[in-house]
Amino acid sequence: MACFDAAAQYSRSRIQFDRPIGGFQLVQAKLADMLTEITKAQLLCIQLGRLKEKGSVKPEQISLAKRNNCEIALDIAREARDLLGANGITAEYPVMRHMCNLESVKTYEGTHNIHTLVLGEAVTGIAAYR
Amino acid sequence: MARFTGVDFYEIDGLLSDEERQIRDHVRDWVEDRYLPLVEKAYEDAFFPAEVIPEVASMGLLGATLPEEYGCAGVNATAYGLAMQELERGDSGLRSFASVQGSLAMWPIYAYGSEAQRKRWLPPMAKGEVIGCFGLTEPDFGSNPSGMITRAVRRDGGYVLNGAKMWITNGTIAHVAVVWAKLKDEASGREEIRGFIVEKGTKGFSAPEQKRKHSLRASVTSELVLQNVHVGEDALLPNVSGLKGPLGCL
Repeated sequence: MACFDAAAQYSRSRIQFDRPIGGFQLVQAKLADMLTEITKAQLLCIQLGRLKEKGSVKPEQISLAKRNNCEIALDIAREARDLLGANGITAEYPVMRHMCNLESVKTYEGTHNIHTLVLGEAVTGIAAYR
Repeated sequence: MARFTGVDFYEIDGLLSDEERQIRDHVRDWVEDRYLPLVEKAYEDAFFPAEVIPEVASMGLLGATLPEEYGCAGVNATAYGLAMQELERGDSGLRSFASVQGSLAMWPIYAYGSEAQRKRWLPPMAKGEVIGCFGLTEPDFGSNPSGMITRAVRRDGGYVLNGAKMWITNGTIAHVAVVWAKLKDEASGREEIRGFIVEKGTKGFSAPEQKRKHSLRASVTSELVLQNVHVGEDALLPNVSGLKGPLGCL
């Protein structure tokens, strides 16, 4: 959300070709994708929280949310970095810092790949770990 | 940049209780006012700004879902998740600090520990006076923790631990580590993964920091080295055996 927020603000203030870059279709497509993925991720998490509170949450449901949300957070950080151009690599914006962090977050506490296999086992009943 | 006001395209705030929103907004304001001014320097110079620990604790974010009788906030899973979302917006290193302390160190003590272990460790950990870490991953066993090399053997009314752990958030600043090791079950003769509470300063236990990272630079990442570390019987988490112990924390 920090990266989306930075990208959205930047798109309104950064002028290129005599207009805010937020007026260009390529930029709007990125922002639309980010907003869509954040909204989907929020809906996953609110329901996951409610299942946990109800006591019925299953490990594979946690895997699905962790796998998806870390992945899209990293995707959004990368897209935001691109949208900010060279400014995206600086410490003036939080984007590159989050992007580098999220490479770890995707990998730790159950890697993306292992959560994939948890879901694969939930679907097929066959464990593919070995 | 203008102050962050959240992203809520689908009126998801309406699915939250007043208390959940208040916690979320309080943490959001703290991150905005207190943490964001610190984080870029911490990231650039590669240190965790530990001076914020008492403030994170005073917001009730360490072991937030655990019961109040252990000095914890006793909030629900959604409120905890929202608080972690806001810390993550500050920096993954800040969120990692809190989630390792709460979910990976305090939670196993609560869920798998004896009442004496809970009473001893949880209240000071909730206050941030005692920092915890979680040792599962090893240099050669990451996604495959069941292959771990770290071993515990019974000796002199306690246990002797040998092995090494890696990629351990909070390791070097931790006062206490929840370490997972294989121990031979006396009844079955089979080796089972068990949890041990290992205190900083125990002979043979060290936690050197892993430097030269391009990620999570504002976070402490460490190795745990265990060389003939002797711990008492009361170090064993009595109520779980097997890989489901550590995996239940993640």
